[in-house]
Amino acid sequence: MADSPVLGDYFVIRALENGVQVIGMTRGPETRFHHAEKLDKNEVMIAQFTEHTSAMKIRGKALLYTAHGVIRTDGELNEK
Amino acid sequence: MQISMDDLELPCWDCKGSGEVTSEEGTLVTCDKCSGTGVILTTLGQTLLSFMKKHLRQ
Ligand SMILES: [Zn+2]
Repeated sequence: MADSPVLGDYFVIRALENGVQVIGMTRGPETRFHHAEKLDKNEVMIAQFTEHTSAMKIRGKALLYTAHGVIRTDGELNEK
Repeated sequence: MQISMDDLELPCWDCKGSGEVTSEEGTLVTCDKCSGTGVILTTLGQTLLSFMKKHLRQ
């Protein structure tokens, strides 16, 4: 990751249903959950990996736009 | 603006909100994902909490 937190990797989460949960996990030897967010349908969150967050867990139907492509959390291949 | 509880905090995924998980030995131990609180605060929850803390001190 870049030295500046402003330049860290980011990705976009688009909720496809109400109540999608995003949980950020701490960087370091002990991974705690330090932050949670609830997204309702069509809400968009732009999330970034920072010095505090090294991993994220996402629960619920959502589309993730990442540098590696678009990922659907329900496993279906095509958008919509 | 209406705020509901799940706008402020969400139940911890590991302990399902109980604050305790079963260890490898089979005993109940404090969940370290949420430090035993059972919940994880959202941005709104953290903002509201720090606002309250700041103004309650005054
Ligand atoms: Zn927990």
